[in-house]
Amino acid sequence: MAKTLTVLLMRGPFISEHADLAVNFALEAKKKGYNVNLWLYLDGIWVPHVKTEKDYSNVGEWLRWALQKGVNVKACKRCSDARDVTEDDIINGIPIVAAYDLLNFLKESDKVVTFTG
Amino acid sequence: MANSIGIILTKTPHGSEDAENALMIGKEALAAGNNLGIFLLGDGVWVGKAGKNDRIQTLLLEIIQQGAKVAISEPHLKAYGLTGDKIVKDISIIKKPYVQMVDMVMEEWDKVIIF
Repeated sequence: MAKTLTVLLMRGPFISEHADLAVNFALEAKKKGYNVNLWLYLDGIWVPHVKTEKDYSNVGEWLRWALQKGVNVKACKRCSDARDVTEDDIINGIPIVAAYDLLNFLKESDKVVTFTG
Repeated sequence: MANSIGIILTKTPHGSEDAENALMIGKEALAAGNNLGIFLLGDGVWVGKAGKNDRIQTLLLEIIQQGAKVAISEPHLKAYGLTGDKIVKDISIIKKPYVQMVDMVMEEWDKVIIF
Protein backbone atom coordinates (compact mmCIF):
# COMPACT_ATOMS: atom_id res chain seq x y z
CA MET A 1 0.00 0.00 0.00
CA ALA A 2 1.29 3.46 -0.88
CA LYS A 3 2.68 5.61 1.89
CA THR A 4 0.87 8.78 2.90
CA LEU A 5 2.37 12.25 3.10
CA THR A 6 0.75 15.26 4.73
CA VAL A 7 1.98 18.74 3.89
CA LEU A 8 1.01 21.60 6.20
CA LEU A 9 1.17 25.04 4.64
CA MET A 10 0.95 28.01 6.98
CA ARG A 11 2.20 30.76 4.69
CA GLY A 12 0.30 32.75 2.09
CA PRO A 13 1.06 33.24 -1.60
CA PHE A 14 3.77 35.57 -2.90
CA ILE A 15 5.17 36.66 0.49
CA SER A 16 7.75 33.89 0.36
CA GLU A 17 8.51 30.84 -1.70
CA HIS A 18 7.00 28.46 0.84
CA ALA A 19 3.56 28.22 -0.79
CA ASP A 20 5.18 27.40 -4.13
CA LEU A 21 7.52 24.86 -2.51
CA ALA A 22 4.72 23.18 -0.56
CA VAL A 23 2.32 22.81 -3.49
CA ASN A 24 5.00 21.66 -5.94
CA PHE A 25 6.36 19.22 -3.38
CA ALA A 26 2.87 17.79 -2.83
CA LEU A 27 2.37 17.53 -6.59
CA GLU A 28 5.68 15.71 -7.10
CA ALA A 29 4.88 13.26 -4.30
CA LYS A 30 1.50 12.54 -5.89
CA LYS A 31 3.16 11.96 -9.28
CA LYS A 32 5.41 9.40 -7.60
CA GLY A 33 2.38 7.47 -6.38
CA TYR A 34 2.10 8.49 -2.74
CA ASN A 35 -1.18 9.44 -1.10
CA VAL A 36 -0.87 13.15 -0.45
CA ASN A 37 -2.80 15.47 1.84
CA LEU A 38 -2.35 19.24 1.83
CA TRP A 39 -3.64 21.11 4.88
CA LEU A 40 -4.01 24.87 4.47
CA TYR A 41 -3.55 26.52 7.85
CA LEU A 42 -3.24 30.10 9.11
CA ASP A 43 -2.25 32.29 6.16
CA GLY A 44 -2.04 29.20 3.96
CA ILE A 45 -5.77 29.53 3.39
CA TRP A 46 -5.04 32.53 1.16
CA VAL A 47 -3.33 30.27 -1.39
CA PRO A 48 -6.57 28.98 -2.97
CA HIS A 49 -7.78 32.58 -3.09
CA VAL A 50 -5.42 32.89 -6.07
CA LYS A 51 -7.96 31.51 -8.50
CA THR A 52 -8.05 33.60 -11.67
CA GLU A 53 -5.84 33.10 -14.73
CA LYS A 54 -2.68 35.17 -14.81
CA ASP A 55 -0.04 35.67 -17.43
CA TYR A 56 2.64 34.24 -15.16
CA SER A 57 3.03 30.92 -13.37
CA ASN A 58 1.50 31.13 -9.94
CA VAL A 59 0.70 28.98 -6.94
CA GLY A 60 -3.06 29.07 -7.65
CA GLU A 61 -2.43 27.42 -11.00
CA TRP A 62 -0.24 24.75 -9.41
CA LEU A 63 -2.83 24.16 -6.69
CA ARG A 64 -5.58 23.60 -9.28
CA TRP A 65 -3.25 21.14 -11.00
CA ALA A 66 -2.55 19.36 -7.70
CA LEU A 67 -6.30 18.98 -7.09
CA GLN A 68 -6.74 17.56 -10.58
CA LYS A 69 -3.99 15.05 -9.91
CA GLY A 70 -5.67 13.87 -6.72
CA VAL A 71 -3.91 15.71 -3.92
CA ASN A 72 -6.41 15.82 -1.04
CA VAL A 73 -6.61 19.49 -0.07
CA LYS A 74 -8.48 20.90 2.91
CA ALA A 75 -8.55 24.31 4.57
CA CYS A 76 -8.92 25.12 8.26
CA LYS A 77 -12.30 26.61 9.22
CA ARG A 78 -11.08 28.65 12.19
CA CYS A 79 -8.37 30.19 10.02
CA SER A 80 -10.85 30.86 7.21
CA ASP A 81 -13.45 32.37 9.53
CA ALA A 82 -10.82 34.62 11.11
CA ARG A 83 -9.90 35.92 7.66
CA ASP A 84 -13.51 36.09 6.36
CA VAL A 85 -12.71 33.57 3.63
CA THR A 86 -15.50 31.25 2.48
CA GLU A 87 -15.66 28.34 0.01
CA ASP A 88 -17.11 30.78 -2.55
CA ASP A 89 -13.89 32.82 -2.35
CA ILE A 90 -11.51 29.97 -3.10
CA ILE A 91 -10.71 27.39 -5.78
CA ASN A 92 -13.48 24.78 -6.17
CA GLY A 93 -12.89 21.41 -4.58
CA ILE A 94 -11.28 22.53 -1.35
CA PRO A 95 -13.54 21.95 1.64
CA ILE A 96 -13.17 24.26 4.63
CA VAL A 97 -13.27 21.93 7.61
CA ALA A 98 -12.73 21.82 11.34
CA ALA A 99 -9.16 22.17 12.60
CA TYR A 100 -9.57 18.77 14.20
CA ASP A 101 -9.66 17.19 10.72
CA LEU A 102 -5.93 17.81 10.70
CA LEU A 103 -5.63 15.12 13.36
CA ASN A 104 -7.02 12.56 10.94
CA PHE A 105 -4.45 13.60 8.34
CA LEU A 106 -1.69 13.27 10.91
CA LYS A 107 -2.89 9.87 12.17
CA GLU A 108 -2.95 8.37 8.69
CA SER A 109 0.40 9.81 7.55
CA ASP A 110 3.77 8.14 7.30
CA LYS A 111 5.46 11.51 6.99
CA VAL A 112 4.40 15.09 7.78
CA VAL A 113 6.22 18.21 6.59
CA THR A 114 5.40 21.75 7.61
CA PHE A 115 6.03 24.86 5.54
CA THR A 116 5.80 27.79 7.91
CA GLY A 117 7.37 30.42 5.69
CA MET B 1 19.66 2.15 15.90
CA ALA B 2 20.51 5.62 14.57
CA ASN B 3 17.75 7.72 13.11
CA SER B 4 18.13 9.48 9.82
CA ILE B 5 17.28 13.18 10.25
CA GLY B 6 16.53 15.48 7.34
CA ILE B 7 16.65 19.27 7.39
CA ILE B 8 15.29 21.29 4.50
CA LEU B 9 16.72 24.81 4.72
CA THR B 10 15.03 27.56 2.72
CA LYS B 11 16.34 30.69 4.45
CA THR B 12 19.34 32.91 3.80
CA PRO B 13 22.34 32.82 6.15
CA HIS B 14 21.62 36.12 7.87
CA GLY B 15 18.05 37.14 7.04
CA SER B 16 16.90 35.42 10.22
CA GLU B 17 18.23 33.00 12.79
CA ASP B 18 16.76 30.03 10.92
CA ALA B 19 19.90 29.02 9.05
CA GLU B 20 22.04 29.02 12.19
CA ASN B 21 19.34 27.19 14.17
CA ALA B 22 19.00 24.58 11.45
CA LEU B 23 22.73 23.89 11.34
CA MET B 24 23.02 23.85 15.14
CA ILE B 25 20.22 21.29 15.32
CA GLY B 26 21.97 19.29 12.62
CA LYS B 27 25.21 19.38 14.57
CA GLU B 28 23.44 18.14 17.70
CA ALA B 29 21.73 15.39 15.70
CA LEU B 30 25.10 14.15 14.47
CA ALA B 31 26.60 14.36 17.97
CA ALA B 32 23.74 12.17 19.21
CA GLY B 33 24.69 9.51 16.71
CA ASN B 34 22.10 10.16 14.01
CA ASN B 35 22.64 10.33 10.28
CA LEU B 36 22.00 13.78 8.87
CA GLY B 37 20.87 15.03 5.49
CA ILE B 38 20.48 18.71 4.61
CA PHE B 39 18.76 20.04 1.52
CA LEU B 40 19.41 23.66 0.56
CA LEU B 41 16.44 24.98 -1.34
CA GLY B 42 15.11 28.40 -2.31
CA ASP B 43 16.98 31.14 -0.47
CA GLY B 44 18.75 28.39 1.46
CA VAL B 45 21.18 27.91 -1.44
CA TRP B 46 23.02 31.02 -0.20
CA VAL B 47 24.03 28.99 2.86
CA GLY B 48 26.01 26.79 0.49
CA LYS B 49 27.95 29.62 -1.11
CA ALA B 50 31.66 29.18 -0.48
CA GLY B 51 34.22 31.69 0.70
CA LYS B 52 32.22 33.32 3.49
CA ASN B 53 33.97 34.07 6.76
CA ASP B 54 31.12 33.62 9.24
CA ARG B 55 29.67 31.26 11.81
CA ILE B 56 27.17 29.77 9.36
CA GLN B 57 29.92 28.67 6.98
CA THR B 58 31.99 27.33 9.86
CA LEU B 59 29.04 25.28 11.07
CA LEU B 60 28.30 23.97 7.59
CA LEU B 61 31.89 22.89 7.00
CA GLU B 62 31.98 21.21 10.43
CA ILE B 63 28.88 19.14 9.87
CA ILE B 64 29.99 18.12 6.39
CA GLN B 65 33.25 16.94 7.91
CA GLN B 66 31.27 15.05 10.55
CA GLY B 67 29.39 13.11 7.88
CA ALA B 68 26.31 15.13 6.96
CA LYS B 69 25.10 14.66 3.38
CA VAL B 70 24.32 18.09 1.95
CA ALA B 71 22.45 18.66 -1.30
CA ILE B 72 21.57 21.89 -3.08
CA SER B 73 18.91 22.76 -5.66
CA GLU B 74 20.40 23.52 -9.07
CA PRO B 75 17.40 25.49 -10.38
CA HIS B 76 17.67 27.82 -7.39
CA LEU B 77 21.44 28.16 -7.83
CA LYS B 78 20.87 29.18 -11.44
CA ALA B 79 18.08 31.59 -10.48
CA TYR B 80 20.56 33.38 -8.21
CA GLY B 81 23.41 33.33 -10.70
CA LEU B 82 25.42 30.85 -8.67
CA THR B 83 27.44 28.11 -10.30
CA GLY B 84 28.85 24.88 -8.96
CA ASP B 85 32.35 26.31 -8.57
CA LYS B 86 31.01 28.95 -6.16
CA ILE B 87 29.56 26.57 -3.60
CA VAL B 88 31.13 24.64 -0.76
CA LYS B 89 32.92 21.49 -1.85
CA ASP B 90 31.21 18.14 -1.15
CA ILE B 91 27.70 19.53 -1.62
CA SER B 92 25.72 17.53 -4.18
CA ILE B 93 23.99 19.60 -6.84
CA ILE B 94 20.47 18.32 -7.58
CA LYS B 95 18.97 18.95 -11.00
CA LYS B 96 15.41 17.99 -10.00
CA PRO B 97 14.97 19.23 -6.44
CA TYR B 98 11.33 18.20 -5.92
CA VAL B 99 11.97 14.67 -7.13
CA GLN B 100 14.95 14.35 -4.80
CA MET B 101 13.07 15.91 -1.88
CA VAL B 102 10.23 13.44 -2.18
CA ASP B 103 12.68 10.52 -2.19
CA MET B 104 14.54 11.89 0.82
CA VAL B 105 11.43 12.70 2.84
CA MET B 106 9.45 9.58 2.06
CA GLU B 107 12.17 6.94 1.85
CA GLU B 108 15.48 8.11 3.25
CA TRP B 109 14.79 10.22 6.33
CA ASP B 110 13.01 9.03 9.48
CA LYS B 111 12.25 12.58 10.61
CA VAL B 112 12.29 15.87 8.73
CA ILE B 113 12.09 19.52 9.69
CA ILE B 114 11.81 22.51 7.39
CA PHE B 115 13.36 25.87 8.15
